[in-house]
Amino acid sequence: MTTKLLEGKKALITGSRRGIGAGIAQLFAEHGADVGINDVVRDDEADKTIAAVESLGRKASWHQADVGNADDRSRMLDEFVAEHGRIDILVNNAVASRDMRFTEITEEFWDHLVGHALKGYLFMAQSVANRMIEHGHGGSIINISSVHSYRAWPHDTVYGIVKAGLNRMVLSMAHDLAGTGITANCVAPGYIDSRVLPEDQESGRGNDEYLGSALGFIPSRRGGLPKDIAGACVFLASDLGEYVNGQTITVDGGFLAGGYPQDSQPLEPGMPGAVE
Amino acid sequence: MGLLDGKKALITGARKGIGRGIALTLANEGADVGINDIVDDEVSQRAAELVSKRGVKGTFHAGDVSTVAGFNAVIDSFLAEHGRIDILINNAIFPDQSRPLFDTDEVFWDRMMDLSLKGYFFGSQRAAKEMIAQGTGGSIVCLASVHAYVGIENWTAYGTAKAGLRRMVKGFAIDLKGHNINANCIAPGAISNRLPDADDDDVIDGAPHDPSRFTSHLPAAKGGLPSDIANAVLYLTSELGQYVNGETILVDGGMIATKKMQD
Repeated sequence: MTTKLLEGKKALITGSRRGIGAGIAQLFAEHGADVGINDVVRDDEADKTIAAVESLGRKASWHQADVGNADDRSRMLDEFVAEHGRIDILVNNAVASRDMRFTEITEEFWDHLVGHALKGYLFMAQSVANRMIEHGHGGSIINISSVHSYRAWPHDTVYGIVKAGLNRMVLSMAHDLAGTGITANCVAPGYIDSRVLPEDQESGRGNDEYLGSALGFIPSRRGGLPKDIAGACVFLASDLGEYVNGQTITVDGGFLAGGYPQDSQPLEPGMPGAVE
Repeated sequence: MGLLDGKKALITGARKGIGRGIALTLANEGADVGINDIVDDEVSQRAAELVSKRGVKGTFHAGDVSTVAGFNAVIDSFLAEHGRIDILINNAIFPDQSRPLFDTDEVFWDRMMDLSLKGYFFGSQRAAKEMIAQGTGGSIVCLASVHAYVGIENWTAYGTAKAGLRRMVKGFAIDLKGHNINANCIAPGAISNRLPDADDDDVIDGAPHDPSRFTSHLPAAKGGLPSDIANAVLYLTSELGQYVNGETILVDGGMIATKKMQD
């Protein structure tokens, strides 16, 4: 890797202990960024992600915080800026969710999911945008959305609403942040194999076994990898994507390009990339 | 070492403007580049030279890509020079694309559709055929437009062709499944596409035209440059964007997001 696209940038990635968030942290570090790793718990996976960033010669700061909690959000950003001096990139990626049948959705479930993945994202983005405006260097804010923002799968009502809300959120951010040098965009992943795998099984990531019957509906004929989502984030956060604003980029191997309704397969419970 | 080392890219309509910006950007990242244009003059030759100056192979392939025979001849010429094709960028368009509705006659309509829909389709079909025969996969990118999304006075024929491209790449994604080819569109907003007036035209960005024209309407607070479009093409053709397929990415500084254009 010699073309480094994020040299010296300071990036906070929420929910980056493992999975897609960890993949973003790693590719950002490969492109020369220092990163903040956030999650609700610190465990072996978190340690591995931090070590991976450090082994690339970049700084990794750890921020234990729940993005659904206002005090946690504000403390996390203060910690991050104290550690890195400023913030150039925010990737809102943390999500806590599970499926719930429409007829059984409870207010508690709604409040939890919306509170984390819509309200939490908005206020995180707002406080980061204000910090970027203070710093005067502009910046890039990226929400991780989903193909669920465009189509329905069984029992994904609240999740889909939240993700559709993120796509809409960046339109207004583009408008209201005009002239600040801050861009706001979403990346909408399809089937991404973000399972925690033993090292000797890494080469099987995204393989046919993971995809099962979904494989036939993905033109790229493989499952997505965390680095595919990370690639879109690098594009948007770097000079390459500085004129992209208010957009949602779908990174799904062509999954949504296909048409017949019966092509839409439910994501299996526990399958990463959609609902965890 | 760049993001496209060793790749072979053909770019249509690349004599100047956005096409030239794409050619130089891909060359900067290590790709050998074939430049196509219907006009063969010193500007065309200069574009190919500017590619070669970057230490990669730069070739020029004159030809009309609005006919199947014309496009095939361009690809034949490119293959004779480069041996294979990894990247096709469909970018060619004639000047003065806007036309009031009742001045849009059959001649104008046919010219528009032949170049920017039929040409793009059959050129992509041929390139995909070569990529499959090579067994190497590849990338196809079509230049769409903000006009594919919204109605803007006097741009109906152009917008119709560009909207067709958005659908076209979905079809290519589906029909090329399993061949490791991704097909996508980039939809530019207001982009400066003039050659710089200066003698030294070894720049990607062209000359800003009427910089006040769009800035007050754009969240980005500035007009776009060919490099903005070229960088999005670079993303889609490099490893960073290989899982993006059948997608159209708007590169418009937020113009469409906020719908302030006609305020």
